[in-house]
Amino acid sequence: MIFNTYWFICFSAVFFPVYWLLFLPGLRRAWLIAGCAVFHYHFAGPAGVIPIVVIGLATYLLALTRRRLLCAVGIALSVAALCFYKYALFLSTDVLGAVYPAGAVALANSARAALPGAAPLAISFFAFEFVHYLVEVGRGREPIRRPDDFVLFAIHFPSLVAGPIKRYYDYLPSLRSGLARVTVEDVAAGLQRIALGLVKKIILADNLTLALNFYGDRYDSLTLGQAWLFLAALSARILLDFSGYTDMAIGLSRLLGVRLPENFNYPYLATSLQDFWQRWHISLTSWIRDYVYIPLGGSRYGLARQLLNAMIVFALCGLWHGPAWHFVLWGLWHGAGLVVNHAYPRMLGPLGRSLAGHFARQPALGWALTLLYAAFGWLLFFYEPLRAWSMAAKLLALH
Amino acid sequence: MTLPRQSSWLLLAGILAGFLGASWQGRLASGYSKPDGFRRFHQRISPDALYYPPYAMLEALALARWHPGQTLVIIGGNSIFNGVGQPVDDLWSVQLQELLGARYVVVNLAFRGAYPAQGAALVAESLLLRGYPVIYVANTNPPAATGRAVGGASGYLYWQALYQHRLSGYAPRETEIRNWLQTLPPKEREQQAEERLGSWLEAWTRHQSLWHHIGYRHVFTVWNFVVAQDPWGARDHLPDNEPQARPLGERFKNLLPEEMAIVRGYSANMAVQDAHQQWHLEGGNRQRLVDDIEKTIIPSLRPHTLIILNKNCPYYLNLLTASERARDTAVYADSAQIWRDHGIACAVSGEDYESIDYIDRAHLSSDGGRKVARLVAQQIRQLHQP
Repeated sequence: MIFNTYWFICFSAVFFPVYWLLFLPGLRRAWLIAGCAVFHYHFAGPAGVIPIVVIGLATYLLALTRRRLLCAVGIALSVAALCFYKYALFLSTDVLGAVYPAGAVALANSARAALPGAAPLAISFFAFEFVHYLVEVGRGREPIRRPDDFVLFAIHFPSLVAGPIKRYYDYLPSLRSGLARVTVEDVAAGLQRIALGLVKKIILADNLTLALNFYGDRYDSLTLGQAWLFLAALSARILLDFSGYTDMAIGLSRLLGVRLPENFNYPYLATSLQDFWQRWHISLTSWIRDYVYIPLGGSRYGLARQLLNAMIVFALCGLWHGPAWHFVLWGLWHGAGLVVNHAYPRMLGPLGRSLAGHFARQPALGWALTLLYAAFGWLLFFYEPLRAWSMAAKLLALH
Repeated sequence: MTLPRQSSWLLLAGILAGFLGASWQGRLASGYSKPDGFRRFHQRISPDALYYPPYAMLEALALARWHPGQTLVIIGGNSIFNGVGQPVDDLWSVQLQELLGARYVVVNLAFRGAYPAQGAALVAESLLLRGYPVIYVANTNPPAATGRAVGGASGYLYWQALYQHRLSGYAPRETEIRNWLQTLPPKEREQQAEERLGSWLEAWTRHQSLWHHIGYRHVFTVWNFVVAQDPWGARDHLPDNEPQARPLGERFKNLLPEEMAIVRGYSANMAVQDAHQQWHLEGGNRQRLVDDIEKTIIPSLRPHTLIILNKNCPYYLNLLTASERARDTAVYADSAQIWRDHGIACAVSGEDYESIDYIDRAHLSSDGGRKVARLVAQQIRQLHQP
C-alpha cells in the first residue's frame, strides 16, 4: 500500500502545504504536475514510466485529430499495451497452452524475455482511462487541448494506483476549481476521508488479511461455524481494503480541491445482484457498461444476446482483476448470477413473476441471497477454482 | 462529509494539536518505556510477533538497571544467547548475573536471528561513547561472522540509533552499508529505504516509541499468529512462555538430513587442508572475517567485547566423519584466533558439552545455559577487573 509508506508521508508533508500556499493557479498547476511526476516516477521507476509516457503521448496526439480511425488506433495501442504487460504470459501459457502447447512455450519464453520484471504501475487504470478518453473523443466530445491538462488527467497521483477510474469531462472542471481555490472545508473533509480510509485499510483490512492468511492455511481444520466466520471475514476484508484505499484516494484528491467519483455505495446492502454491481467498484462497472456492454449491443438485440453480452462483460471484468482463470470464473459467477437475476421473471412464466414479486415485497430475502452469492464469489476471487470449490463444499456441509 | 468553515478550522487545529501531543508523548515514552521485570526480548515482545522494540527502549532498559560503580554487560547475538530453549527462570543470562555478582549488570538484548554487529552492539557502542563502563558479549559461529548492522528483522535498530546520533560515525561501516544497499534488488532496496526513512522520522516524531509503548501497556493493533489467543491485548499481559526442553529421547529427531547439511556447512566451504593433511581456515574466508570485523565493530568497542563461537550439538557432530570433525574444530579455532588478533576476546562454547545441553542442533537447554554462563563469567573476569 502506497499511501501509508514513509515516503508518501514525507512527500505529502512537503507537497500539500506548498500546494495550498501557492495561490496562483498557474503555479499550483506546475507544482501539481511536478508532484504527480515525482510520485509516479518514485513508485513506478523508469521501466514503469516510459511505457505510460509513450502510450499517453500517443493518446493525446491521436485524440487531437478527432478522427475516429485514429482514435481507434489509440484504443488498440492502449489495449495492446495492457494485454502485453499484464496478460502476455497468461495468454501464452494458460490460453494458447491449452490448444497448442509447443507454440505456447515458445511464445511464453519470448514474452518473458521481452517483459520487464513487473507490469508498469497501474497499467490497467491507465489503459481504461485512455480508452475512455479516446472513445469519448471519437464519439464527438471535445479533446483535451492543453498538454498539462492531459498530463494531470493521466497521472493525477491520488487515483493513479487503484482508481477510481476518472472521466475526463468530470475531472477537468474539478481540477480547474481546485487549482483556483482550495477551501478549508475541502481540507477538513479530505482529512476526514483519509482517516476513514486508513482505519478501514490498516486497522481493519490489513489485520483481517493477516488472520485470513493464517486461518486460510488451516481452513480444513476449522469447524463449520468458524468456516462461515472465515467467509464473512473474507467478504469484509475485500470491501474494507478496496473501499479504504478509495477513501484515501478521494480524500487526498479533496486536499487538492479536486473531487473524484465515488466507487462504493454500501454494496453489501444491495438487495439484488444488479443492485450490487451498481454499488461495487462503481467507476469500473460504469466503464464496462459504457465501453464494452453497450457497444456489444447491451439489451438492444433481445434477451439471449443481452445475457450473452452480460457473460462476456463479466468474464472480462474478472480478467481485469488479474491474469488467472479464477478471476475469469469469478466474473462468470457474477455474470451467471446476473443472467439468472434478469431472466427468471420472464423465463419461468407465472412462477418467475410470482417469485420476483415475492422478492420485491421481501427485500431482506433478496439482500440475504445477494450477500451470500457475493460472499461465495469471493472464494473464487481469492483461491484457485478447486480450492474454492472445496471451501464452498465445506460451508455447505457437502464434505 | 463536508464540515462548516469554523468546524473545519477546529478540526485542523485539533489534528495539529493531536500530532504535537502524540510526538511529545512519544518522546516521553522513549525515555521511560520498557518492559517490566525484563529478562529478554521473548518471542511475544520481539519482531517474531511484529513487536519491534525501538532503539531508545533498548538503551532505557540498560540504563534503568545501572548504578554508578557497576559495569554494564550487554548481551547481543542471536536466539542462542536470547535463551531460546531455556524457560525464563533458567535463563543463562540470569545465571550469568548471579555468577558475576552486584558489580555487574547483565542486560540480555539478543534477538532471534540477529548478528553480533546488530542491536545490542549499537547500544554497547552508544553507552561506551557516553562514558559508561560496558562489556559487550555476543554469540555467533564461523560462517555467520559479525553480520551487518542493517538488514534482517532487527536491522532497523541501526537506522534508529544512527538518526538519534547514538553512533560514532564509523566510516568503514557506513561505506560498507552504502555499498551493500547498492547491491540489493529494487524491492529490498525500497524496503531498506522505508526502514531508514521511518527511523529518521522516529528521531523527530517518536511515533514508533509511542506505538510500542501503547502496544506494550494498553492495546496492540496488529494481528499475529504468535499471539493469536490474545492478539489485541497489551503485550505486558503476555508472559515469557519459553517451554521446558523435551525429554532427551525426543530431541534431535526432526529433519536429521537437513540439520546434518547445516552442520557440515559450518566448515565444508570454509577450510582447506595443508600438505600435512591439517585443516585451516581458507584464505578467502579468513579475509572475509577480517573485513567483517574491521568494518562492523568499531575499534573503541573491541577491547570491551567478548565473542562466543557456539558449536553445534554433539549429537550431530558425532555423526560427522573424523576428518569432518577435525575440519570443524580447525575452523572454530582459526576463527577465534582472528577475533583475538583484532583485540576482541573470543572463546568457543560447546567443546565439552553433551547432547543434554542442547534442545536441538544449536539452542542450549537449561543445562547448556548454565555451562555457557560459567564460561562467559570466567571470560568476563579475565577481560575486565572492576
